[in-house]
Parts: sequence; C-alpha cells; structure tokens
Amino acid sequence: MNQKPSIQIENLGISFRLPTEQIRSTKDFFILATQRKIQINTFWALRHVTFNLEQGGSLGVMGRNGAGKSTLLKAIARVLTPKEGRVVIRGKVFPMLELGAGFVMDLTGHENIYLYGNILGLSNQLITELYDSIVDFSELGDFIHAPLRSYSSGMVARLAFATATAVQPDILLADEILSVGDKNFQDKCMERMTNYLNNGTTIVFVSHSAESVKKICKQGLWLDGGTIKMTGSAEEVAEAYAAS
Amino acid sequence: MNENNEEMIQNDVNKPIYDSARLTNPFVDEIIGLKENLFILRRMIYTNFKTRYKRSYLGVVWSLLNPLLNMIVFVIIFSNLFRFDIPHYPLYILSGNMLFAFFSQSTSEAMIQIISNAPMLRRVYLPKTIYILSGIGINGINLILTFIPFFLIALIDHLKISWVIVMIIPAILLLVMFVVGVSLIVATITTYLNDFSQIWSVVITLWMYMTPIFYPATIVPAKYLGLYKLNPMYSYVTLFREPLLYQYISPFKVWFAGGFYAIFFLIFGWWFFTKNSNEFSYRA
Repeated sequence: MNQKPSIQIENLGISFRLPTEQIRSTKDFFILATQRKIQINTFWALRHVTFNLEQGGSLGVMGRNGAGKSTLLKAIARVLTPKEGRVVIRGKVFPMLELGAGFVMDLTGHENIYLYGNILGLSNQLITELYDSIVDFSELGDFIHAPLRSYSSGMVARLAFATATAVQPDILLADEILSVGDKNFQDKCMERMTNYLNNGTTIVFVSHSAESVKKICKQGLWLDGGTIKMTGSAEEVAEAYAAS
Repeated sequence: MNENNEEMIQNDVNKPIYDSARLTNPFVDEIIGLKENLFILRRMIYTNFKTRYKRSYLGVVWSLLNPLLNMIVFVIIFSNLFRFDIPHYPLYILSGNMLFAFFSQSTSEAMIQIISNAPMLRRVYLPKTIYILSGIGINGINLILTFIPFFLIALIDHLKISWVIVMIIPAILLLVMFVVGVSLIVATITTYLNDFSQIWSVVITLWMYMTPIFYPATIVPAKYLGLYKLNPMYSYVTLFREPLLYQYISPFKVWFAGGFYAIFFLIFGWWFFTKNSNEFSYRA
C-alpha cells in the first residue's frame, strides 16, 4: 500500500500581479502608460497553506468568494504553478469540468468521447476499450452518431459525466454537486461516485455550503483570505464555518 | 466495475506524480509537457479540421477554391492596371498568397485561442502552447492542400519544375518556426489587452502590402530596398518562390535572414508566452 499522501501541500503560495487600475484594452494601456500610472501590485491568492490528504481521503474546502478555494483546486490540477512552497500530487487528477467544456458542438457524440477522453489524458486505445461502457452509461443509444448540437442539455451532461468517470480517477476535483439529468440518472451517478470513493479515490470538494460538505466529506478545510483558518473533521469545520 | 478496481491496484506503483519542486523553468517545462501530450495536439488538430468545414456545403473544397479566387481577382486587377513584367504571374501571386495566408490566418487565430478555450484552460492542465499549435496545425494542412490548385495551374501554365523544388521544404519549415513564434507573442498580448486583435488586423494588412505578393520587389525604390528586405516575410516568400517558380536557389544571405528570424522569433515567443502563461487562467 502506498503510504505517501495523495495530495501533499507544503507552505503553498500563489500570487499574481494585479495592476492598480483595470487595464483591459490597448487604449487603457497607452493612456495609463503615458500618465505613468501603471503600478503592479502582487496579490497573494493563497499563502502559507499546508496540508496532506491521504489516499482515499475526502476533503471539503469551504470559504467565501475570493478566499482562494478555486485557486487551490487549480494548484492541485497543475493549472497554476506555485510561486512559493511545493505541491506534490500522486496519481492522476480528474477535474470535473464545467459541463460541456471541452466538447465541440458540431462533432458527433462518438468523436467527442475521443476528444474529451484525450483531454482528460486517456489514450486512444484505452478510450476504444471503454467506448461501449461509456455509451451504455450515457444512455444515448443511436444519438451517439448525431452531432452534439442536436442533443438536449441533459444528454450533453450525461455524455460528459459518462466519459469523465469511465475510469476510476485517483484524485477527483469537484466544484459543485452533480445534478445531471433526471432522478434516475442522478442516482446512477451518485452510485458510481460512492463506489469510487469507497475504492480509494481521493476527492477534493469545494463549496460555499457547509451542508453539502458534511454529506460528502470526512475532512474539512476552511480558507479565509488565502490562508487556512481551520482544519479538522468535516463536521467540526462545517459547523464553525456555518456559525461564522 | 470489479475489473476496473483490480486494474487500479496494479497501477498503484506506477501512478503519475506531479511534484511542483521538480519544475525547472516554464520554458523547459512547457517543452516537456508538450512532448508528453502530443496525442492531444493531434486530436485537437483533427477535430478542428473536421469542424471547420462541417457546416458548409462545399466543405474542404473551400480551402482549394479560396486561394484560386483570390488569385483571379489579383490577376484581373494587376494585369490590366499595372502590368508587371513577371513570368508566370498567376503562379507568382498564388505562391505568395499561399504563404502569406498561412502567416496571417495562423496568427489571427492564435490570438483568440486562449480566450476561446478559457473554460478548459481554467480546469485542466494542458501545456498551453497546445491551443496555439493546434490552430497553426490546421492552417498548415490548408497550406499543403493549396498545392493542389497550385500544381493544376502550373500544369496549364507549362511551369518547368526541377529538383531544386525540394528547397521549398526548408523554406516552409523556417516559416513555420517564425509563425509559431509570432503567434505565441500575439496570443500573449491579446490575453492581456483584448482589443489587440483589432490592431493586429491593420498590421497584417500593412504587412501584406510591404511583402512582394502581387508586385515584384524591383518596383521598390533602391534607397528603401535594404529596409524593405528586412521584412521577414520578404525572406520567406523569396525562399519559397525562387525554387518553385524559377528553378533557382536563393542566395545565402536570404537563407541566413530567414533562419535568423525563425530562430529568434521562436525562442523569444516561447519565452514570452511561457513566462506569462501561468497567469492565463486568471485572465482568460
């Protein structure tokens, strides 16, 4: 058994440069540049964040808007690289994309399975092996050879979920509770997720809501202004967060 | 489900590890990341190519027809208005246009890649150069396709072709390096300054007139000629056209200039892009 934690965050700091005044266009840039008004401030979205998450653990991250929750997810997903400290991730990370992101509406479901699967890091060979089970799970039937723009939004969501969860992820990053399709399909999704969680998938779940964190996670982390305010069991942290 | 789990346990030892401490610098990390994810680049070029023509009736024929129609317009205008004394004038225009269209379309598409892929960019790690390269890849395929109408016209026009024609391959490769470099630069700027694409389209138009596409470089006054030849696109169009149309290998100094711009822009563009790309997921 692998003793090392799945997610190991050491004194993580992520900063970016923010101009004091908003520059969105070339006009702004030249006006401010000639007035010599461009000042760049360093803004720390996260700083001095340290925690470990064992394999199979489930961590609920709570905090207000701008507390650094999604920055933390991005650091784990390697979308952002640390300016300070260190991030070690053992295993393949699967981000739950905003549903439909990465899909191309003019392509058929078949082609999108390959595109989306590749983006998630699956090889063509593996996708071919999984193909039938993906189509089965998505319940799309013959629609799989029709272009995505003829799908209902529920069908797109089903295809996305079926592809994204075709293999058991080592680490799952989730931003919101999955509400995909009708009741039947939601149950099927929940069953698959629970199965994965019971079989060693590590999950990091980000939410405003203390309630949903308590439902899904065992451990809790409360971020405030880019630093850790509290860690502990999901129950404790969720209650303290809800009370604040 | 059970099969899956067994597979996972077996794979446990070989799990991929991402350790931020092992990253050396963005310039090198991007090259390593790109090498590992080449299969995604291939997939994206393939799907881009498929979608581009999916909704039009003539489909891929457009990429053959478009340069031909452009050529006809230029031939009609310039063989009556200005009368340049250029052998194989239609092919002269077509060849210049092919190269310049590759440059202008690749760079204009590259600039919107980061913004239009924002939802993915914010969630999944992919080397960000993939988004830029996939746009250039499809225009590269287009460039190759336009050789079909080119050789058709060449046949009608009795163009003599000799072994020297192989020199267009290094010429195109140098151009690709230059285009990748410029694309990375403009894509980075556009991510910070949204309206840069408006400026770029004016720059491209000006650039086109500064490049010998439908007129010969000899009409440029001698005192400006040195300056005129500093234009990188002048080098690439010359390097491409002389072996293709006139069975002639361009002098060394043109090759040197073309090689210099290719290497300089590729390295500078790669550096500039990767230096900033970590922040794209905030900006896009």
